[in-house]
Amino acid sequence: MTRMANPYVPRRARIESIRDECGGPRPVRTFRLAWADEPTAPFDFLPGQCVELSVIGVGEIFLSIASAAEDGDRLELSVMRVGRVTSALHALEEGEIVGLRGPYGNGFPVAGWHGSNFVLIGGGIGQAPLRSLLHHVLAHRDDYGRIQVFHGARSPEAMIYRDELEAQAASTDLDVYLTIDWKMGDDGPLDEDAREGWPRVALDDPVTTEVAPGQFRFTGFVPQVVDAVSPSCGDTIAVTCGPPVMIGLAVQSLERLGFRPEQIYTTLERRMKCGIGLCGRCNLGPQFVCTDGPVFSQQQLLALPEAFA
Amino acid sequence: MKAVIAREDVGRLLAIAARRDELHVPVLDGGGGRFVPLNAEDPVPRDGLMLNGSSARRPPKEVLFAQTAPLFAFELRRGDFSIDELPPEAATKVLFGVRPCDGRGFRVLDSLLLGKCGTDPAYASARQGSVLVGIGCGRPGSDCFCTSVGGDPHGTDGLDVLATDLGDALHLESLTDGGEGWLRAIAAAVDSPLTPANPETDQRCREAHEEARGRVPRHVDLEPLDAVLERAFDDELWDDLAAACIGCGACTFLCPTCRCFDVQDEVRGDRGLRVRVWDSCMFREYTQEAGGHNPRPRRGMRWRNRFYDKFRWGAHDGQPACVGCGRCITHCPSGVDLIDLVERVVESGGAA
Repeated sequence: MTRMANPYVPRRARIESIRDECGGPRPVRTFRLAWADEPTAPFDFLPGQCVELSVIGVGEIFLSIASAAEDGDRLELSVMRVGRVTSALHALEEGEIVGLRGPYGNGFPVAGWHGSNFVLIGGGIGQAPLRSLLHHVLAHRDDYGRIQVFHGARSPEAMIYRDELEAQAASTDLDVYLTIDWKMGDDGPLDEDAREGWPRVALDDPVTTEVAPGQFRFTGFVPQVVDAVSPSCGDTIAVTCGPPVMIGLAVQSLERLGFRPEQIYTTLERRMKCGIGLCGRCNLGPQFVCTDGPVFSQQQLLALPEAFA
Repeated sequence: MKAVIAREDVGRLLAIAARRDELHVPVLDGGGGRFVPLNAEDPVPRDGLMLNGSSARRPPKEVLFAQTAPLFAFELRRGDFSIDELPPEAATKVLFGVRPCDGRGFRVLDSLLLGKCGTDPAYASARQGSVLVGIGCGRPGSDCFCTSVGGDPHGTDGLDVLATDLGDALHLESLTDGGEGWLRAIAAAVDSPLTPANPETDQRCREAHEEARGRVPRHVDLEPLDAVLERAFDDELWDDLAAACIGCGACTFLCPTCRCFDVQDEVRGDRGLRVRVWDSCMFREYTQEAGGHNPRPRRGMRWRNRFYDKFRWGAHDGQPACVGCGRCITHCPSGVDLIDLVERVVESGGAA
């Protein structure tokens, strides 16, 4: 028999640089990777696609790619330190070698989105695949319309990509809205915790918030800021990624604004092992997040069991 | 090709088979039975061969889909590593004494591991050229219900050869090109104990098949199930159904169609293996994400997933992914009975 390629075997990739995105108990670092072996096979991918990253000897994790193919032949992965493999990865230094295989998953269907406006809604590390999409869209700016980016974090210090997003807001025609979470007390948000330069959204009815011209910083949960800004649904694709609760509330906000299920997309996280539809654990009913997803429209998710679990 | 072999000559047939290929046979091993390799010079266990009566507790899936299988080897260096790919399985594997339900189980495994998404190379190479010599169940086990899920005690689906127990002899019939080649090769051996089948053995064979069909002890009507599952997903009944389950995962490990696995690195010194290891959807950790989120935190949710996977999502060629072997019933330590559960689900009618 002809010997088939072993799909589990990763290729060697060198960590070219490491950037600290945020600190705290769940720090995030962005690893910039280059293929370590010549000749490098082309590695083309769509925004929203994923890779399996190995710290050999420790394990392997499935990650959304945080950069776009248009960024060049380097790959960027933003990784929050939460478990065994991510802790081992955070302990690595520039120049060290990791394993990489992919790309996996469907990615965002960007070819069908030409001419659309975008509303991107990200929370925490969920911004990583949206960054990939944003880089792609900015590299093909003429193909797309207005772009509004909502991005939230627990605090200004915990906000990943903040410098990049603020720079893009200043130098491009992106509309960027950054927000930090309310500090919660027993009776709801703590008023006194509003931060200098991060005005609060109206708590009772976020839609009534007066948004100053050019305002791009807020205090409030991401969906509340979406309510406050009230983006238009006309010819617009909304893409949201973040904690499941945030995704659920963001979808509700979008539906109130008139977005239909086929206009709303998300990219899902599940525990994954093989990445190629074999090991079984990332199923949504008969589909696998690793191969059929991770990108799904709200219309697709409404028909799939456990999609909102 | 059809052939007959006297009962007392089965050992000679196995010796010939073991000379040719890597042979695995079901043996009562003190742990309820499993498939083990049999070398040509090994004595055939006289009473231990599980060719009639209950099937081996462990299905033959582990012969072709090992509980722990290396994906590749690696060597760690300072800040770097190298990978050694492992040679694929070279030997042709012959499994003698596969029950028809387990033969169908391999069909399901094929669809999952050689499927549209990806292909598992270790399974593909073990499966390549494999010959499944089935043996019909003259006396099905106490929890068998193969006829309720599209099978039969002498079903041929998934098998390459079917043996039928005629009491003093076995009747062998090839079902595929691979089975035909194997049977012809055995018949061509100088010391072959095979004799040609004849109309009389054919007739006894048909009678044995008919009798066995009537001896399948348990039945469940799956006809109304699909319509119920259509609307029962959000029903509260799943937590009730799972109440007795202790989450040990035995049902999934003993299931001939379960294939879920984990991937782990096993390291000694600066060398190691990345392995795939059987896992179970009945374990909480199976879907536990490092970040804290778990889409299936409750046992009822995990039961629901397994149930739907066997009877709806995993359905294959119009048949459920359950082959009715009854092992998950017989060997459940807390007495959970899948047939009972099917009936309770149907009774609920998907009320939610």
